Amino acid sequence: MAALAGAAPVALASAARPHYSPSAVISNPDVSVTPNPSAPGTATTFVVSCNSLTGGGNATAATLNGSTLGLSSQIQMQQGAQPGQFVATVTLPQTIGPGTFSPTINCNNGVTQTATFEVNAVPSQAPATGDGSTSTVTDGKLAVAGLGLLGIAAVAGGVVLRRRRSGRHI
Amino acid sequence: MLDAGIAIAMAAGIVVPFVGSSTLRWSPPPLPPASVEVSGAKVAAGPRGTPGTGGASLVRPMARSVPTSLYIPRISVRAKIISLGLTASGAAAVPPLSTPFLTSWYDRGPTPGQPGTSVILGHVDSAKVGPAIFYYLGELRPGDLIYVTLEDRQTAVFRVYSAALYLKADFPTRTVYSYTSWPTLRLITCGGEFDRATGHYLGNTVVFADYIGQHAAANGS
Repeated sequence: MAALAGAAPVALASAARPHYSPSAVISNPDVSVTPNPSAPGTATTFVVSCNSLTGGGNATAATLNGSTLGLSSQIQMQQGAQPGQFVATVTLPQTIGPGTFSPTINCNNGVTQTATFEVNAVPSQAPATGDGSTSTVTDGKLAVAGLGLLGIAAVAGGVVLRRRRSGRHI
Repeated sequence: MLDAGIAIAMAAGIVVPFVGSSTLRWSPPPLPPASVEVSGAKVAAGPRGTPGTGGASLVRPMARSVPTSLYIPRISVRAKIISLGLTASGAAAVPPLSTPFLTSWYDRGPTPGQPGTSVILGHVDSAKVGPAIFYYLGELRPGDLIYVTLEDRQTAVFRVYSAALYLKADFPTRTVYSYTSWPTLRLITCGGEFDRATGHYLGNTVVFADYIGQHAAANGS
């Protein structure tokens, strides 16, 4: 989204512009990100094919630049199942904000790929789901009073039980 | 101090009785058995109960499709679902209290049946009607089934594996909202004591469920 805004700010400002879904804008057959959208704290896997662009020769290594994600700028990727394919799984920081991210992947045959993906917002607060109209409401002083009563009830109950028990024994 | 007292009572599974509330029109909403996960530091552990593995390996996840209705036979819930995002304070938005029988799906996350954690919220009560759509949520137990019908007329079926009451002040957002590699569902409402001073419940009831399969939607379910 940020990249799109940078490329065509005027067009974006026009209300008549049709809406493009992120996937239509970002699809790159040589890169996959799973899950997409991802979320803070989520293990996210990047898979890249370094050899599909012509003229680069075979890649033997690739690094993921995680700096825009709040991670290392030099994340070594592991060799994948196919020749020229590399894989890295990283855990996104809890602090990463929602939005579109486009970290780059550098293959050592000179090919650079961009792995664009979305990060979802995760709620940071507990939701407010009721107005208390059925609750045993009330403010705290009463709660403490209630606790006190409970304590008294427990003690009294204990005494009664003990009396009953001892009564049975006699 | 106060909160601590209530927290202890909640932790002990006690519904704190009150002297002052003379005429209660409704009994308080039921609570899950595994009540509050209270701790001074963090709620690090996951919810009680074990998520099924069937959802992970044997059942194929569903395509993305917005959920439209919810059916929970055990507590006789049939509800429409609307799509909502975040509030300004960063909580998942809920339908207005004036529509107490609507539920909301958190639309920044996966749709039900997709890998990840999809979240559906509903009110526990509303002055307009008393008990609201998720009043009985705390009665759900492991094994209970939840049916979520999607826009594409498919129904995602989930099985409850845990239910818990958490203090809002210590709400474990990671446990509740974190991504799961298999499809899971969370149902959330309010629970525990109500704090009249703030106008909020002190806790949230959360039901955790695993995806177990799908079927074509049949007459309204």
